[in-house]
Amino acid sequence: MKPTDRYHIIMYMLFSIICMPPALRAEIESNIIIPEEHHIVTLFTEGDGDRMRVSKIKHEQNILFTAGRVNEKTVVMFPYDKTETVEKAKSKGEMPEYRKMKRRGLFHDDGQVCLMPVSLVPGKNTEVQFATSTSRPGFGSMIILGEEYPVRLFTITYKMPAALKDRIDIFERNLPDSVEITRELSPNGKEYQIRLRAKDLPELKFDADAPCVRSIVPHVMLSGLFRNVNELYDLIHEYVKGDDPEEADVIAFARELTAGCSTDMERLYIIQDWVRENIRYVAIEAGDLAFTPDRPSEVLKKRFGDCKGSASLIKAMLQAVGIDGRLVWIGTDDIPEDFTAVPSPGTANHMIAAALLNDSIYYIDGTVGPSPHGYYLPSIQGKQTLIQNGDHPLIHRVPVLPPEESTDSVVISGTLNGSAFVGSVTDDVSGYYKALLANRLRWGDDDFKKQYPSRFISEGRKNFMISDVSIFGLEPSEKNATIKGAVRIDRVLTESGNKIYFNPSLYDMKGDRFDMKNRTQSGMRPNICRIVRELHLQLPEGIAVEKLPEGFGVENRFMDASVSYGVEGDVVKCRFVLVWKQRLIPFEDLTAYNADITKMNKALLQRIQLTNSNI
Amino acid sequence: MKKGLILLGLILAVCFGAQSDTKKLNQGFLKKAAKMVWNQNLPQFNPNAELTDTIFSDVSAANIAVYYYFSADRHEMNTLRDGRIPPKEWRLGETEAIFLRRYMTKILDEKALEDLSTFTFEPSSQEKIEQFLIMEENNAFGARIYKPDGRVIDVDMKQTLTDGDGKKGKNAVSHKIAIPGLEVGDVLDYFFYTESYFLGNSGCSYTWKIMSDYPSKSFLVEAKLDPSLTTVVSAYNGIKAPYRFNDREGDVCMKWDSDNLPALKVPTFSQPARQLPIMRIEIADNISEMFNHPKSRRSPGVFFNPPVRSTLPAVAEHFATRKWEGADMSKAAAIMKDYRKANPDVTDTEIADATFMATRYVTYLSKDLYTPWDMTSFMKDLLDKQEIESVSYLGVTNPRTDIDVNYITGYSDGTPVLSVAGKHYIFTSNLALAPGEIPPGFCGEPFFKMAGKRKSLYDNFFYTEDRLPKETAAINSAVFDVDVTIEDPDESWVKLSYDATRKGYFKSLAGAIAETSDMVEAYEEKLGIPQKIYIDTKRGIIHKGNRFDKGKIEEEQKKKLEEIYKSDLGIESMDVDSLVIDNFGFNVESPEFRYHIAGRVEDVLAPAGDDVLLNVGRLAQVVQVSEKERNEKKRDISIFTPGPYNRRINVRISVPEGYTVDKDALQSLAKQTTGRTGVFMSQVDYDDENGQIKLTLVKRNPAMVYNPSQWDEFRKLHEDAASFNDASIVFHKE
Repeated sequence: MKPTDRYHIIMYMLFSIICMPPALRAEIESNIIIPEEHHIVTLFTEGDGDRMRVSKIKHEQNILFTAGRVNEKTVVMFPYDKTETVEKAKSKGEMPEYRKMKRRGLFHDDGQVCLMPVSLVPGKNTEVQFATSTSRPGFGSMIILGEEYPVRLFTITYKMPAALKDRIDIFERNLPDSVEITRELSPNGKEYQIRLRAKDLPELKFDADAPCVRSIVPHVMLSGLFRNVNELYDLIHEYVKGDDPEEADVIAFARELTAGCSTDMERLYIIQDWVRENIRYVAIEAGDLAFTPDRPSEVLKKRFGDCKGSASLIKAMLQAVGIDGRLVWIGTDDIPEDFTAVPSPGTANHMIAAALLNDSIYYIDGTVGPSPHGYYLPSIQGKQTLIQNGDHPLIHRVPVLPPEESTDSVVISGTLNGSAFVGSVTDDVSGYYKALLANRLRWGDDDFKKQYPSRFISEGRKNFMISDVSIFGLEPSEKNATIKGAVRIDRVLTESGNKIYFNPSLYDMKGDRFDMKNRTQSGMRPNICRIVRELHLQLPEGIAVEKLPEGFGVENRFMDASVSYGVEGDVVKCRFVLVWKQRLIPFEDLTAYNADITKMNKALLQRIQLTNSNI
Repeated sequence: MKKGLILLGLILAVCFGAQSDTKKLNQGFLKKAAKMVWNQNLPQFNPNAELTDTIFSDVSAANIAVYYYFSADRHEMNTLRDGRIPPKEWRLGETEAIFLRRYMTKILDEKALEDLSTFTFEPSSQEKIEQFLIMEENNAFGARIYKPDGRVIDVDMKQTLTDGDGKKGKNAVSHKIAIPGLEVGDVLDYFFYTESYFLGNSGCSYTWKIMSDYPSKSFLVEAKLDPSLTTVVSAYNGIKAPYRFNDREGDVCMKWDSDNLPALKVPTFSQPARQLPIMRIEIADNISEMFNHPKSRRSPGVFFNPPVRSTLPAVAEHFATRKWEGADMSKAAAIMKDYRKANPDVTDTEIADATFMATRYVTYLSKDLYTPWDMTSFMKDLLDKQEIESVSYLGVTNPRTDIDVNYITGYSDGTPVLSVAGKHYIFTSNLALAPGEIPPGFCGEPFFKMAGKRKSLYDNFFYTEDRLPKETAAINSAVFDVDVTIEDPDESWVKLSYDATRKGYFKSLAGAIAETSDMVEAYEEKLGIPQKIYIDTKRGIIHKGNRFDKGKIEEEQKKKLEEIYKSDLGIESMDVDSLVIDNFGFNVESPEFRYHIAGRVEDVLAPAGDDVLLNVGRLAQVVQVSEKERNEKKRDISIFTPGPYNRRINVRISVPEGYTVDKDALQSLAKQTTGRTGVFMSQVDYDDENGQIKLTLVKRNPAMVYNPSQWDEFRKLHEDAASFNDASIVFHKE
């Protein structure tokens, strides 16, 4: 499904050739300023009374630009797609240019962009006008308050017939306190208006590793275009009702595939695994294809499809073998809202399948490649689902898996050889890490396949060399996969006379810190998981422990981490356990969170002191 | 039809420009192309062929056969396409060319399946000048799948998708097709087919990489060329010459083939343009007289690897035909006049240096775009206006990242150079390059030069061969003076500040560090130009702090700084407090790029009981070995380094108060590796009185190129140098 939200203006420099990156400076003031930006959104209706519905929405934008200090030439970008008609595109003395909009991850869609050159001179305003209309209301009504430049005055006016007064409103998120919102009927009582007025909006900025755009930028959307989830479901369900004249092929195939299975769970998993292994993700989302899945028989024949295509094939295959398969609309973590809070097609940007079996709901995402059974990607965990269910949808939620379900546990055992540590390594992975490993190995060429397990274990430490690698348990039916190999870690010792400092190099947490320089937004971690690192050092003859580092641990809302050191016989054992418990780190907690990471990392930097009686 | 009317049409076209359009996908043309290709009787395209050679083991896919075909036919044109008859005194031809690339590839894993499951091809297009069709290109793609069970499935090209520009996306920019039903184990036979048409002497060229990402059992190239056209075939880097013969129709035919060709893999430390096989074919109708021909054009016929001297007239003619519009030349002349007035005793060399800078300054800020050819010619004219005594020579050369100048077949293959009083001026985008400083990659390269006024070069094809000066390690040097301060040994961070001095090719980073407007201002100061008087406001020159997105600027700054300190010292992450540029490096008197960076580096102090270890190796790295280099155990082609160089890092560390340094551990850091491929040295010195540790790291690379047999030695030197990257200094608590 395609995100239909409108990120309405993006700017970039036309003459990038002369815009070399600037040297470091404390404060940067934008040369470009938007003195005024006005949006007028007009809703047109058809029908009367209870049958009245919004049939068309017109969105007019009027933006004034000026330069603060020197001349500048920029290009304003207005994205749109085939559900919209461009009614006006105007900038004084300039001609708009229309281009294909390229969106990452999509093989083909109908996104276009209007490029409007703007020449700016200090002290003079340049006006840009852009207007579109859509006869598919509800598929994209988001307006972000702000631009990549400071906006002095920003207004939005929603105009609609008075009859919509008690039905249509706005859904707002992250609005600054200064925004004034008024709602009133026109003097003649025929028109209802909702007005927003904001002053001095700062430039929009997106920090690295921040939560999704929709959860951080101030924006508004029309609410009430769908009275509730059921009404939304009525619309989007229409798109998936098509027949499949060649469904017999799918039925025959599914039955043949599951012929050896004795339980429904076996059938479910074999279908899930087959689709994930054999249906390539190719997203073609132009026009209705953005909402309508390809026929299951077509997906089966072509061996490719987008999320809707793979979901529809899974559903059909499940049904073919007697399992209650359904389609499921879901918004990934790019969308913060639930369907029940914001019943809009834009609340979904993904489709998966579900099997209703033994009083449980099993979700199947066909686009994730080889992944262990029962595992869901972090991007959909905890997200509300709208499950196809006759005339009324089921509302449910993808479970949030505990950290233990995604474990990466490395145990290294060995001894010293010169200044190197040599021995063996075992890496047990489950959940997220297993899916990552399996997918990377699947999509890499031969050289990559040979090198990746070593890279996976080394985690960027250049003195690690892993050889004689073997991998077990990559099948999705296995909970864990295991990498085994020989390891050589060079230069682990710093020597001084008979004193040796051994660097166990268990783990490096510096990459887990958030850069706080100029940061204003919360942080988002990629997943919740459990990481274990163990190192067992068999002490060579003549070498003894002089002093072990002290154990250390931190616990907070986001993580539990601890490192411990001990000796058993002539083996030194170091163990680090890290449990990431929560993905979102609110901005107000980031400093303390970083401080905990720094403390923990310092503990991990500790050296083990050994003595060498051979000298 | 009068010749005058056609000419009028062309004049109008020049005024209003040619109109170029893309066309809708023509299913009929796709079918025609597919029929032609699938009916080819090429036994190499056997989906059941055995792939037994060792080059086919452990690969994602293997080409059973690759076939390139090129043909070009010229027809004398008696009637224009609109039915009109051109004047008899004209010789007007139209050329039809076919270019086919066909691959039959066995898919052996998911990686290849992914790579070969979608294809993009160009839309057909045509270009008209008024009513004249001057160019047309029709493109087709086709594919068929051979299943292991013997089924053959033709890909339905009706499933092709089109991305388009325009308000409603109707102007095709690319066609895309996802191959349905493709699986590992299948053999995919696919082709790209182009029929070109061009009127008169517009011409076209194709460059073929005679290697594929996959190993090839059979690689065949064939061409069939009309002898009335001018065809230049170039083959570089060890490709055998094609077999050439004339067929019954009098066409010139060429054939080149190779069996069991390994996959193309670009190794580290290589120069693909000089080391990997490339074949190129260019055709032109040099008989037709519709458009202006260069005087220097080649006569009809087929030329294989023509000697550079047959190309030099085209270089000369290109120099001679440059023209200046607008006021740029007069602005530059005024700058030089003022400069000469302010500096009456300057030498010819100093004048040439200033002329180089004035040329760069004016052309850089002009609203017109100048190519290096334009800038070199501009400088030559500006110099000639000043009537200095020294002779100046225009010439052509090429950097090592491009083909050798001896193999160029047209002016655009080469790089212009201007030589004056023993110095050589080459224009690149790096503003930190000092006048007469040879840019990276050009040192030691041959060049061809000629004397005389630029415009006289039409008839002056007497070039002399010369060679640009060789570079030395002293020219390419980088020195970093680093101060490390441990403010609190109980923490894990240190303060770090360093002065960087980069010369020669190490200056290539300058563009990333310095802001353009600062450099432009420094140019103005050097040339004595009242600030900003020549800035063309139409161009919207960007001045300080004047960028478009605060978030993006911050992100860019962070990335650039990361690039800088990583390149300087190998530091992965640093919280930078300040960056100050002391010298841009474009002054002849001080051609080094100098800057100072200060900040804080985390996670480098490691506690060990009461002792503290400073992981100095993470703060000062003269060499970093990439995973790719480490995994390249074998070497078959010469090792190309960026050039001879010296790189030196001097580190000063104050022993923290209350601690002593472990001298044994410190001394163990002193290492040296010397060999034919260079030197790595780490020296340590401890000043007891001041409690200061001095570490010196040196990496010297004496030559630009090494033999493949030296690969182990070359790598060992790198590994030895990189071993310092884990080094630590031990401090004991007193």
